[in-house]
Amino acid sequence: MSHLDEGTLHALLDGELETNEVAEIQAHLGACSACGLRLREVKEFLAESDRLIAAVELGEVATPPAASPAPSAARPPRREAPEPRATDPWDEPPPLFLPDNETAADRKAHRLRRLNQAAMLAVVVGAGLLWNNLYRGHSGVPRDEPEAAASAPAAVVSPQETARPDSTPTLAVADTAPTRQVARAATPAAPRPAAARTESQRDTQPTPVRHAESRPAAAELAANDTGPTADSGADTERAAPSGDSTVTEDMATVRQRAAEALAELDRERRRDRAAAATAALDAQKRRRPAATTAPAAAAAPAPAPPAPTPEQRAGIYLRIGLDEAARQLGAPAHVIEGMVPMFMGLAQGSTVTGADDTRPVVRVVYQDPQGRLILLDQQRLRQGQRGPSAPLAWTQGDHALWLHGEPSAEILRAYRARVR
Amino acid sequence: MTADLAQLFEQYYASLVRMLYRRTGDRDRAEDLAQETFARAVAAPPDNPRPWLFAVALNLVREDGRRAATRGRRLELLKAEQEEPANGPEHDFERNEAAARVRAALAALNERDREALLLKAEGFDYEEIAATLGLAKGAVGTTLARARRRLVEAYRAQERGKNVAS
Repeated sequence: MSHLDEGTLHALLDGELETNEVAEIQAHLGACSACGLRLREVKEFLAESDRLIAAVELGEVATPPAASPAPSAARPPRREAPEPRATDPWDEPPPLFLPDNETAADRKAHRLRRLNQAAMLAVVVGAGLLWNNLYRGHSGVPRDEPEAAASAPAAVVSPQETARPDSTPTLAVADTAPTRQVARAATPAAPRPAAARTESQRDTQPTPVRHAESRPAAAELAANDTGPTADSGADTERAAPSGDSTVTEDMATVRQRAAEALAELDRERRRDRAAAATAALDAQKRRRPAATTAPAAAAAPAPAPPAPTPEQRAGIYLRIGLDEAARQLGAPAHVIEGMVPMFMGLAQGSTVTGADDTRPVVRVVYQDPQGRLILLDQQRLRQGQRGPSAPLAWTQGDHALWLHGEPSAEILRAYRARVR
Repeated sequence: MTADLAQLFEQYYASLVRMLYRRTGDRDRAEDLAQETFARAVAAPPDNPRPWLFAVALNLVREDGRRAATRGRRLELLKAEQEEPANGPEHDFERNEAAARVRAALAALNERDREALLLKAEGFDYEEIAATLGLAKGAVGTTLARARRRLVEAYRAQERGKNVAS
């Protein structure tokens, strides 16, 4: 097998490879120190890259504009998604209040845009109201009778759409409830609670701009009537009243947690896939040529070229964590009491005398005060498999264990008594 | 809005905004583009929603970027300065500075590499990345490898430049 390319190593670390591919790569990594080094480098790049991207984080988690199918006045003010449009919205010109001197107005650009949207909302609401009044005047529909949900939204969304009252509602996100609120809130004679006002402006905010342009006279009239209201609504939205603010924070917290939980699930899923791929090595019955296994059967790791890494000294081809070790072994890994492991990893089973050479062994690596490596190897015994029985190779439960390394056998025997 | 779309919205909106924010560095733009993306999903409900939504969003970013370039309205840095401070001015300044450097490093990547990286950060697997970007699945690993390396190298180069300057 030729050397592993970076893309393959990234795919391996991302848990994207098939079981047979993982097996091949692990076999190669066990024999190729150059690729082992490259894997370490790739791991560093991957971790660093993830860290950098995570640094570009929103100050707070965005709240979806249409969080609930039945919005209430207590819902935090958000912009609603625009209604579906038949034409490409990017073909539209920018909103009316795009400032000429943008440099001077950059800091207020967003606020002006919202003001513009709120004003145009009022325009459309007013136009819709006029149309409604006209329509009811002819049809005799009682003013206080709630309109059918299917037909009411169109009257609010745009004058054009009211021309086809049997059409389906076209609001993208808001359902019919807030739309009815809008219709009531837009009635000039009716008292308008602040919450309802804010809600109405919010729910229809993105929709009106294009329709308003087709009704300039009515638009101007309605804008004059409702302009200040729209302004105060926009201010309300920007200032975030205390009650809504609490809800916003709560929702932001909930969403933050949900996002973290999803990220954790994703990491968990990747770990599971990697673990499944590794564990599936058992089923592969991977046989290595005798010529390669025989010389490698010596327990001690082969001396590495120039500046061997700790992993190379320990004969580990892939570092793993506690979770992965526990998955490999079906139980937490055994450790030497009173010592802190340097790291854990997988070593070729064929390099450990008496181990099943078709599977890797979990190797916990320690360093004694003299800097010598002590290796505690572990492998789960299969059904019917006999474990080793020797002073430094023994069976504990359904695990076979081997203790070896750079210190002498006498010293290792002392450590053997502390294996838990 | 149908229940399916409402569910899509709940499921992907935050992720979409986060990805768009990382891409544009402008929260308002990110929210606008996310909403526009969902508006298009309403108009033409997708079969495979997640790749579809992110592909549309990335297309919108490109369109919007071209449009903004012609109007000379690059406001990312100003916008970044306008972000509300969350943990005091010093923390906020450092966070924004770090984020700006990462965004600058991201800007050094080519479009495809950058998008692959951002999608991966949102939990996309290789198949979804391939579907979103129109790549062969087998090319995703190489794309990500190149993207990650370049991102880190570009960032480190900035760090070195900063240290030299100071």
